[in-house]
Amino acid sequence: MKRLTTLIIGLFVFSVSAEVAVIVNPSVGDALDRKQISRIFMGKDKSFPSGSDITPFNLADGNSVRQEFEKSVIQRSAAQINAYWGKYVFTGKGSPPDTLSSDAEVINKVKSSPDAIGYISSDSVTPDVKVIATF
Amino acid sequence: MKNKILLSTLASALLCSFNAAAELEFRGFASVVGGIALDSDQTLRGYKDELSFKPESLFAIQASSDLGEGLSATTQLLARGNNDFDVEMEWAYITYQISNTLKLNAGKLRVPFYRYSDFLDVGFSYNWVKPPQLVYNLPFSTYEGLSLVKTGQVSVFDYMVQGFTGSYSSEDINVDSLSGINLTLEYDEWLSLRSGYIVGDVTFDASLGSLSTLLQAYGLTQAENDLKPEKDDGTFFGIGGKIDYNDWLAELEYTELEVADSLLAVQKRSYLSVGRRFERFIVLATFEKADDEANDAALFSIPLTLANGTPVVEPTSGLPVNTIVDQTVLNNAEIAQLSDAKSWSLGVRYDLSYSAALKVEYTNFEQENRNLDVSALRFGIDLMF
Repeated sequence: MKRLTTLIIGLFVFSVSAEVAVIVNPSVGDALDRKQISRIFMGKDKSFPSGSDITPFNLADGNSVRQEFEKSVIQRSAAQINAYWGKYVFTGKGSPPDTLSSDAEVINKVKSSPDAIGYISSDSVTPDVKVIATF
Repeated sequence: MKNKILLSTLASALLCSFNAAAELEFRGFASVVGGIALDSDQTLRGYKDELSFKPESLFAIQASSDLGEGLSATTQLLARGNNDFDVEMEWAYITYQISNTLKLNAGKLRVPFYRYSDFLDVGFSYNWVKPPQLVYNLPFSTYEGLSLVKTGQVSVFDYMVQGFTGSYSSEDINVDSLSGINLTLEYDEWLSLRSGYIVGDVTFDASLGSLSTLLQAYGLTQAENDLKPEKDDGTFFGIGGKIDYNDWLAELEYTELEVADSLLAVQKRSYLSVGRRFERFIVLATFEKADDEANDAALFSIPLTLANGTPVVEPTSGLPVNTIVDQTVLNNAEIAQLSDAKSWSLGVRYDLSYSAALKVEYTNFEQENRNLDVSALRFGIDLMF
């Protein structure tokens, strides 16, 4: 029984840690669905539905939370997303989101700027930020 | 403790000023492509019957600098194998981001003829080894001037409108008042449609060979002028689209180029590409076609009797310039039969990582009236960094 409980807790912890939380500044009142978040990170939408500017921040290439985010939110492979940005960055038509190196950096950015949006492992969420969606 | 705070303040102040002064960002891409023509004595895309890595390999580095207030400067240095890897400045421009959706570029830019014009050299961004050659065949791809890009949404579409104006000049070709507009519409992450229109005053070096001598001997200077492309109205039209739905891919482009009062054939080119994505693999079949037509207006100015007596002219069939095989089309004008060529390719792309892709492609090219039937096998790796 004890073993089973451990196993269940283990599974629970695993599934929780695999979740991606999309976070914004607590002052943000807008709601965003998957497609809207994807459009923001692909450079198509540059403002919240309410009209204020929005600036997305990525985690570094190869980061496991980023991989999960790209799989479940953008729904394209890292190579496809990179190829997509290749069409913009080498033509003066746009550039991919800036990258931050850790969940803590994303939290810092988001809590200090009302226009920032980022994603972190849901384990890292602090009361300083507002979770707008989880995947 | 105090010291520590002082030190970190100093460090962050230094860091800030460093960032503000020189935020130079480097990016780059490269393609190493090898290929071999599978028929002796015939070439395809620059490949002969010996393995070569020169015709399509390239390396590029881009440096851009954020100058603040919406201004940025970008340069792209490119070394092409077919140019002995001599480094050339392919792009050099200043961008002014007027608003979130409006952007002005000024400098040396890419002429937006085709769907892939802008990233022609960024092999990683498409699935072929190189874009289809019968369509992507113009002898120049850059211009100096201005480009204004507006993006936004209209009903269910994301749109991008680009207007541009400028000029191009090289030893062999001059295009003045080169201007155009194009529109791209995207729908729901899977459909993209594009259409573009470009005009310009075209001058290029076309040797009419013995025909020229003959026309001059008969005092037919008007006829000669009608054939020579000198400040003649060029018009280019292109339409295309792409579907990327449930891992099925389809792409299509059709283009038309006409230079009035010149012997350049009216070029009508198209391709269709169909593919399927399997995880990291993409399998792709591409069909290309050239249905060029004689530039009648220009041809009518030569008296038929004279044309018939000219050795370089094919009797009765008109005088279109064949522009297909040599990519150096315009400065190597040849008088031949109506151009009518087709090509098919089968290719595979495999994504090694988020920034490296392997490609293999088999192509067959056929042009009956020049007795050409040649195949080539090409393979390569595309990188983006």
